Amino acid sequence: MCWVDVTSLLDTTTTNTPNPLVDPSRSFSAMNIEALDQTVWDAVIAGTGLRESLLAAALARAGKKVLHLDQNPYYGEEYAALSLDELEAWTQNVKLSHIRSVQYKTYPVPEGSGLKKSRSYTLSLSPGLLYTASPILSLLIKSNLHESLEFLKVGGWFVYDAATPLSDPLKRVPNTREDIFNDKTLDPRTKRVVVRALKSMVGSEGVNLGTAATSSGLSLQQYLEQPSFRLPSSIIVAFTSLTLLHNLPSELPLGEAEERIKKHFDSLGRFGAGFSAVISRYASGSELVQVLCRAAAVTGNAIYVLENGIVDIQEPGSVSPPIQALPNESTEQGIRLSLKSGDVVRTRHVVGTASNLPITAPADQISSESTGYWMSIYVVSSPLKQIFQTDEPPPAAGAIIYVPAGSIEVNGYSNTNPMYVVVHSSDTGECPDGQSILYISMKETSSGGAEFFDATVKSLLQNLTSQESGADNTAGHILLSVTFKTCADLEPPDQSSSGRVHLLSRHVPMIEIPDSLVEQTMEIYEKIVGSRDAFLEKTAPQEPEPPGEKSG
Amino acid sequence: MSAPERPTVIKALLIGPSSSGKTSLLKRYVDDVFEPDDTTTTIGVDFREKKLTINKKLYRLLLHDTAGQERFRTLTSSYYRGAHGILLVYDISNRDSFLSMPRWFEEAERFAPEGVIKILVGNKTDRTAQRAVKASEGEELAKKHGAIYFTETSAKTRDHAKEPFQKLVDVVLSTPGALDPNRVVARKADVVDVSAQAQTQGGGCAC
Ligand SMILES: Cc1cc2nc3c(=O)[nH]c(=O)nc-3n(C[C@H](O)[C@H](O)[C@H](O)COP(=O)(O)OP(=O)(O)OC[C@H]3O[C@@H](n4cnc5c(N)ncnc54)[C@H](O)[C@@H]3O)c2cc1C
Ligand SMILES: Nc1nc2c(ncn2[C@@H]2O[C@H](COP(=O)(O)OP(=O)(O)O)[C@@H](O)[C@H]2O)c(=O)[nH]1
Ligand SMILES: [Mg+2]
Repeated sequence: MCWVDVTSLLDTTTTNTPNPLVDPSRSFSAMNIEALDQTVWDAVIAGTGLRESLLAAALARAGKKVLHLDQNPYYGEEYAALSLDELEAWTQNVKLSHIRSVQYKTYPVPEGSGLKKSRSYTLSLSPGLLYTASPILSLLIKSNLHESLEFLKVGGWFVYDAATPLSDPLKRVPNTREDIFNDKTLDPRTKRVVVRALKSMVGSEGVNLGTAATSSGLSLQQYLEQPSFRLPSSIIVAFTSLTLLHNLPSELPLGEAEERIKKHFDSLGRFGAGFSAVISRYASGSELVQVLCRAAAVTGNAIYVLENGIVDIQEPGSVSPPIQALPNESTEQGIRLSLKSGDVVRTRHVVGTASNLPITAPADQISSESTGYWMSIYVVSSPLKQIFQTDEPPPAAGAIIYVPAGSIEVNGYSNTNPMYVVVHSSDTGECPDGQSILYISMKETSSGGAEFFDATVKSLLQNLTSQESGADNTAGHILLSVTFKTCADLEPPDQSSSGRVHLLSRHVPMIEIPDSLVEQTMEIYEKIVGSRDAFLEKTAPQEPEPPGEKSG
Repeated sequence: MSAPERPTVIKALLIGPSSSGKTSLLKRYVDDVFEPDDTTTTIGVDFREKKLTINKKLYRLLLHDTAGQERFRTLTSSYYRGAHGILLVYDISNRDSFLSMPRWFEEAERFAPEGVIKILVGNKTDRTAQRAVKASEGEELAKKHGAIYFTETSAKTRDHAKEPFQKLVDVVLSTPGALDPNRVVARKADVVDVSAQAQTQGGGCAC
């Protein structure tokens, strides 16, 4: 066994700014890299985001040879789960063009109630919520990958009601007809109308989705305020909170809102009463990625290399016949890829986002009309037990709080856009016991943004901890916040990719892991495999191949 | 509680440099076979399972192999979740393999649950002429990194090959709290069952 010193290679690849995330001890050895060029890969995938990892697992299970790379020393890309140190390093080294104004801030707190050691946090840049009716979840179940994951309830959906400071400011959004009829704050007429409005939007089984009003250009607010409903704003806000969309109710197209609300109710009760969504323990999306990547590796068809990427793509002569034949080195060269490590590998297909491929994609330019969002991750020193209570065990580990426009005031201005606060409890394994994580997001406005977040979190902490009964009446504190601005408009899959270079559009997860990921992944899968059949299905365990056929 | 007793699950992992014989040891233990020149990972299998009866109690030992992700040290942190025990395997006929072990201990320290039981294994004792690591060095390394046990094995000749697995189970069972269901990693009670059977179609719609 002879190891080649790869120090010189590493030198050419390190960036000018020191990156504490890059641990030199995890660099790959040149000896191992040699093996990578023994094969013509079916696909080289750059980046371990959720789509890339889903594709890798599906391709590997379909018998394709996959080389899966990531430039970072960790898995997950936009779903990565980071310790405190890693998160701080990330904020100092954000390479993504659509993420701006990043701020990492710790807060002074009383002795003993502060942040714990870096590794006791597993923080993700997005909360990774999955509706139980999500096609991603069904895929995971169908392919048995759910057995490697632990799903926890996202229990309560709340609206923050600033108008009633004396009573509980968090109003639970009713989930069932009984909930609605048991609600003491609603008069009988309103109860009936709410049920009727809901029926009109969600439809009963078998009824076509889409009321006549859907296509009329009405907003959700206009629809619910029309004479036949005349619902009060508190109800409109409750409906809006179920959409997970950041528009004001008056700017929320009815059709879109209906679709989202329908999804919520379709999801309710699928895996138990009273909840419509789940998160996976340990930073949801990141855990999904890792389980998918392991599933790919377990087939023996996928090789994983971190801290490596593609620096150059050379496609063979453009008028070559379509590749069908078995790898035959003399006739079929495939695409030549130069890797960051200096190695050259050959492959039939290349997949990645523009930020992971040496391509300048027009799609990756941020247009001036892009919608900007403020996003923030808060760590607080309170378990916020009250919002995780559920009627039926187990308790929830996630909760959603909708903060309507106009409910939080800072320096005489109030928030003109609504905010969503997604709360994760320490049951997720993402923070130490006694603490919680809050993910806040809001559409950017001309009149400010992130300064409302601190005020919102403080107000929630005050209200929630004063509600908490018993002796430990210590108000929670903010321990940490990481805030950034992101441009989150999802373009359709880019068509500029050639037959073999498959360019994925930029993906910015918000609250939910979007269903569209599956479609985007399947599209590329189909181009590589020729069909969508058996996507992600486990092929029957193969007999070990006869010795000698192996590379390696 | 009167339902048939459900076996207690013990999750164990194998880690260590590529080609040290992790997969071979696993196959030797579970199937009692040795396939020379077979350098593949256990294809298509996420983990191997061995049912054990100890003191009339039933156990399921789940053994997870690295799936080749150790080759470039790209094991995922999720691989380590919920592990009760880890076998760290090096090749006694390959000095580099031994020298890389501090890094594997570090990785286990970083990702595995606190209090996980570690056992150090020097494999390929049959290669006597090529031996490049003294047993005493292994012993010392185990002590230094808090591995509870050290042994040398040969997956090829069966020499001590089952010992690390048996020792691991012994130690897990005799260590107070090692199987405690209240350990964060094992707090299964909070988990939503999303298996196909659990699905109750379109349950709680408001309308
Ligand atoms: C997955 C993996 C891959 C490795 N690849 C190599 C390799 O390609 N070449 C190699 O010499 N050692 C490599 N090592 C390290 C090797 O196994 C021994 O750990 C190392 O030779 C001595 O380590 P040390 O901790 O005693 O001393 P250290 O001070 O860590 O290293 C001693 C010498 O080895 C070199 N070295 C250590 N790690 C690497 C590395 N990752 N890449 C390049 N040089 C390294 C150092 O530059 C130094 O000259 C690798 C280890 C692992 C776990
Ligand atoms: N001589 C000898 N060879 C072994 C022994 N165990 C494994 N091998 C060989 O070492 C190589 C690597 O073994 P493998 O189990 O794939 O290692 P892994 O990469 O750690 O899983 C294979 O060629 C095995 O046949 C052993 O105890 N003695
Ligand atoms: Mg192996």
